Amino acid sequence: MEEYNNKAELDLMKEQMRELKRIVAGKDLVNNELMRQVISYKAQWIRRYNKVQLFVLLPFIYIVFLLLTYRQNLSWGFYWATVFFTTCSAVFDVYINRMSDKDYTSMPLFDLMTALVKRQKMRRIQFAIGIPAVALWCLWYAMELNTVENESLITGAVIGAAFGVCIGYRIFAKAQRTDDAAVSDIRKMMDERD
Amino acid sequence: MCNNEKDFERLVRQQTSTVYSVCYMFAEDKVEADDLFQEILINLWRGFEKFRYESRPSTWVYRVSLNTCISYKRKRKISTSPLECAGIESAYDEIERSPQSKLLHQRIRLLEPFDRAIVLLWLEDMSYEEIGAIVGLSVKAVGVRLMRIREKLKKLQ
Repeated sequence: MEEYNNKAELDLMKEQMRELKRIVAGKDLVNNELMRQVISYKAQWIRRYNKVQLFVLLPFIYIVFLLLTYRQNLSWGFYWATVFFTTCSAVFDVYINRMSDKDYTSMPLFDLMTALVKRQKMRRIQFAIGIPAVALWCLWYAMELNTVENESLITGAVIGAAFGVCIGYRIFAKAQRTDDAAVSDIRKMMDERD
Repeated sequence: MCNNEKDFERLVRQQTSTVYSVCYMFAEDKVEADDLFQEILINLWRGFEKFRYESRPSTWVYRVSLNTCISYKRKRKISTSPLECAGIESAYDEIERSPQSKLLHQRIRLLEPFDRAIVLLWLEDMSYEEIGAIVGLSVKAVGVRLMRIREKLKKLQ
């Protein structure tokens, strides 16, 4: 008898579950807008990176080079050039990656795709200008350190510069890949509509 | 296999009732159910690139949905900011008007989150092997746990 009760109870619960799923199936819970918002989360790291760059990395560089200028007697020209170069780079990054969550969901698909392609192009230009600028800056830095005659500091600077270029390239490549994926997704969405 | 938005959207549309049913069973109110639903969609999207169709899509969707809900219950916090979507319906009110579904919700919410997950899978007619694969238990442990849950439900009635 108890086994029968258990079975009836189980059947009842399963029936309740079927009823629940039937109600949900009749509702339009997923629409194009929600899907776009979910997809825009993929690019969220770019917006986070912008904030970290502006509020953490940039002040860190200002302070570290200020200390180095005092301790190693680097020239003030070099310090201000560093500040100018890093600030320009960060501001340009923010300008390139200024697209918000709202843009992802509210912009017409074609405009969104065009904006993403433009963003990729600007990033390539920034990289093409940035690499020679970093090389020149490294050269200047090496010259500044040379007057200090501190071999370990020069070695550290070379390693740091190489490391920085590698990280910079990885971020650039990842950002380009993220936008590539978004452009390809939008193309598919547009094809489906046509 | 497929790795794009179109496939993802198809998968989500196929599994919407599964995802929302899980949300409903874990949520205390409409807002929480809708937040959980969005959080699960985001987690599914994040994991979709790595999903290789080695397991059934429904199994994967269940795993992500249950993990999201259990971890939400543990932390009591949604990690992503809520999405603001116009034109999206909420199934919550209509489910609440159904006495059958409400009764099931009332019974299941008496259980601990992990037990809730097991019961939901069991109600989906999944085998003990499948349940075990999703929640990370052996077949034997699933059987024992289900027996205890049934006893608990009986006592709580």
